[in-house]
Amino acid sequence: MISSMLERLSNYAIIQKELILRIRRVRSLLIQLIFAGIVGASMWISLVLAKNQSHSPEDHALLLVIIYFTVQVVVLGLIVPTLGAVSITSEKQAKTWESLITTDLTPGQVVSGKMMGIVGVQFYLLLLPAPILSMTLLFGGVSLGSIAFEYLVHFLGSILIVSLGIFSSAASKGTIRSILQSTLATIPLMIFVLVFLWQEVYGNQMLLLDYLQKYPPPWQFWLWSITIYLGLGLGSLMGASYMLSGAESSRDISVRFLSFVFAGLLFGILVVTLGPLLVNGSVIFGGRFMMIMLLFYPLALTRIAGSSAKVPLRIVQMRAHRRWETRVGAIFLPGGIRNLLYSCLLLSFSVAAMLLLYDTTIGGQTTNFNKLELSGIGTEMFLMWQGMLFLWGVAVLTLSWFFAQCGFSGVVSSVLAVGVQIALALVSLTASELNWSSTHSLLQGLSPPMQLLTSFNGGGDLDIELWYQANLSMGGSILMLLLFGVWMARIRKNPIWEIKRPGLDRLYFDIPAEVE
Amino acid sequence: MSSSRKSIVEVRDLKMTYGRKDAVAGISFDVDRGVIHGFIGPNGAGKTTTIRILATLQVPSAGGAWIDGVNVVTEPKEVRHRLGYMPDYFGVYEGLSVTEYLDFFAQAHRLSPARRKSAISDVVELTDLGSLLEVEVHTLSKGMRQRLCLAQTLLHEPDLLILDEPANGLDPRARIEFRELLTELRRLGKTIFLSSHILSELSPICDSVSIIEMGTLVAHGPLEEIQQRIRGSDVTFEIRLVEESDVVEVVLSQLPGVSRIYQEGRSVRFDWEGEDSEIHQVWGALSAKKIAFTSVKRHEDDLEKLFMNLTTGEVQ
Repeated sequence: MISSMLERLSNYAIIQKELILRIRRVRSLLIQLIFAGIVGASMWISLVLAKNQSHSPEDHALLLVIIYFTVQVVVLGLIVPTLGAVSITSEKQAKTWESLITTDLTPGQVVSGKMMGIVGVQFYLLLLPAPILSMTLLFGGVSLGSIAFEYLVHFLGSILIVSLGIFSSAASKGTIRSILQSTLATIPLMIFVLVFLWQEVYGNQMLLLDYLQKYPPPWQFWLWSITIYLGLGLGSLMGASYMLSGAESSRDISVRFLSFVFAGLLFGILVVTLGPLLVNGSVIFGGRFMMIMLLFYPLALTRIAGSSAKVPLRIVQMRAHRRWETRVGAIFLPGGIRNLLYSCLLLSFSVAAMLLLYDTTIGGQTTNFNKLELSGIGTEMFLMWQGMLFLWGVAVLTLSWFFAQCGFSGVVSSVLAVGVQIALALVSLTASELNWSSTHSLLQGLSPPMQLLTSFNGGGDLDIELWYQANLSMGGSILMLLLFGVWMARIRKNPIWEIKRPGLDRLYFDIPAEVE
Repeated sequence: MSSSRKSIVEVRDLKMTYGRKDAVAGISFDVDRGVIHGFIGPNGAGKTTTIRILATLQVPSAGGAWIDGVNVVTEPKEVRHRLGYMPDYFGVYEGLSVTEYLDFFAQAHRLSPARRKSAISDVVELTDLGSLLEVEVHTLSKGMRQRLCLAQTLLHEPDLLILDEPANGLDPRARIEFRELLTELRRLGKTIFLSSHILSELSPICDSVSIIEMGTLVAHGPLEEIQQRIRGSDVTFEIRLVEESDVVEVVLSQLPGVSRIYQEGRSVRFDWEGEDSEIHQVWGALSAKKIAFTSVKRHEDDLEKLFMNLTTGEVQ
């Protein structure tokens, strides 16, 4: 019955294959033996040590459980990233990928099937030593709930690591590179978790559940943790599917839609959680820090603004066939000027969040971003800053979009746009440091982020003349880049707003006549 | 799934550009239903690129390709239902048995459990893998793996099989058996689009060919038509002399219709432009000069010769 239920899953073929291959291999048996051996040995040693120190049976049990879970974190931290990291690259290296992808399975089903297969094996590995661990319950000192919660956290943590590993595998050409990437990403996380556990939890003779009961975290913690966990986990799996889908597929629609929802969610949570904190004394540092961090946001969005000017063929065809996915919102469709508009839409979330944080009542408390001490003149100055930084963000995105219209790839367009900003910031900084009085304001106006950073030193005052100049130069550049971008797009026969592939429509949408 | 279209593969102005290099430079051709079509070209000619585009693994820079009237770029999923693809280098899941391997691919093609069972039994019978069902794939010979891969491509009953260099690395017996298998598949109504550079393998089984060089199609059509076009009225004869003779070349050169005489030891080759009914004049002239020969061999233009005539040997 379970088998027939599982068989209804669209990715069942992959799950079954993964489980057979992973469990049946000799290597798999060795991993199981090593895992059980390490865990068993560490528990045995801990038992001997605890016995020598003449602890009570309850303390023995707790120490045993703590050591077991510590070892489990280390072993999982070393094994799990590798399981995910080899999942796709191994198919490519064994030359089975092409046979696999020419079946009815979509990249998303392959990725989710791989994920569930690995998680199945991982679940098995985690539960392998459980019978030994359950013996500790006989001594008392630990509860079944604490052990179960510990298992749950480890399990959820390793699912996230598998997702990151699969993403790394989908994005890499070679297995070694993929393993290195995911291991390098996991080890710092593992060290952080271990340090935290030993400093705060295990070191105080507690398990995680006991710790959370003793020091219940605020609701904001849960909101952030769950959002980041789901965002990273689902984002990695979706990113992996994206990497494995064809360039002319409709993959961008779902990714853009989810990015939009996720960005909205993230900034919404930022407002809701940060707002109440901004009424106390830490507002200056927190607010400034946040403004500086948000300067990086448009730089990250340059990749979207600079993505391919062409509309993928599959999307053109879906649109021609009036499929609902292409009717939900044209801004979610890639290509042309929509790339720029969509990135600007995402950028506007940060501005909206800042404006909301400036003066909003959340939980009965009114946030007061005015205490950023950017200026003594309050609202007006704050809004001027926000306006200028938004305009700067749009200018950066337009620059990246322009490079894409010139035929550069998404990564290159993004790097060029960011490079230009770094160069302008350096010029602005040099002008400011060397006090080039005659050209000072003109050059300083080239880089609003640098202007913001230097203004923090001077109390956040904004030179009105500088503000005008900066806005004028950025507005002018946006206009020029847009005009030249449209011109380049026309020359290269790329669409601006149209959802079509000029020149290819007849070939791709008309079925050719029979051979005469 | 089978439609009434005459051509199962239609390629129009297909182009694939890598940087400034045209791997495929705007080729157009069609392949009729139910034939074995050879896709021939030297290494680097653009064969694998074209095949990968047809198999929905690559998107062309321009132009289009249709399988059974379905666009390979815009409807890849539909196209995959209609074709079975065997890459030039393929791997197998070494930890699975033959049955598990086929069952996995049958599931991946979304066959229902009942249909899966019958499909596996059909392809196993066709590819003669019946005695190896419980054997793990990693123990199979190269020839058997080739059969297994072919079996896997047949599970969802595609009308078209695209096989990229399928005879690569097979021993002579396995090649002959594989050739017989392809002939059997054609008899069952499948269209086989086959690339190879081992021309002697294609020659006996191909109904039509496309010859590609430097991304451009240099010939396309039924084998006889191309032979006719290239050959004109030329036929090559090869005679084996009883003993070496210096006069044979002189005798032959004086005869009308004989050209391109080439002698090597007791073997003499010449082209004959005359009618078949007049060839007896050649044998008469040789007999008159008391030039004895043990055998006569008539050479039609085979695929290898066609290929050499049509291609320049340049690579990109």
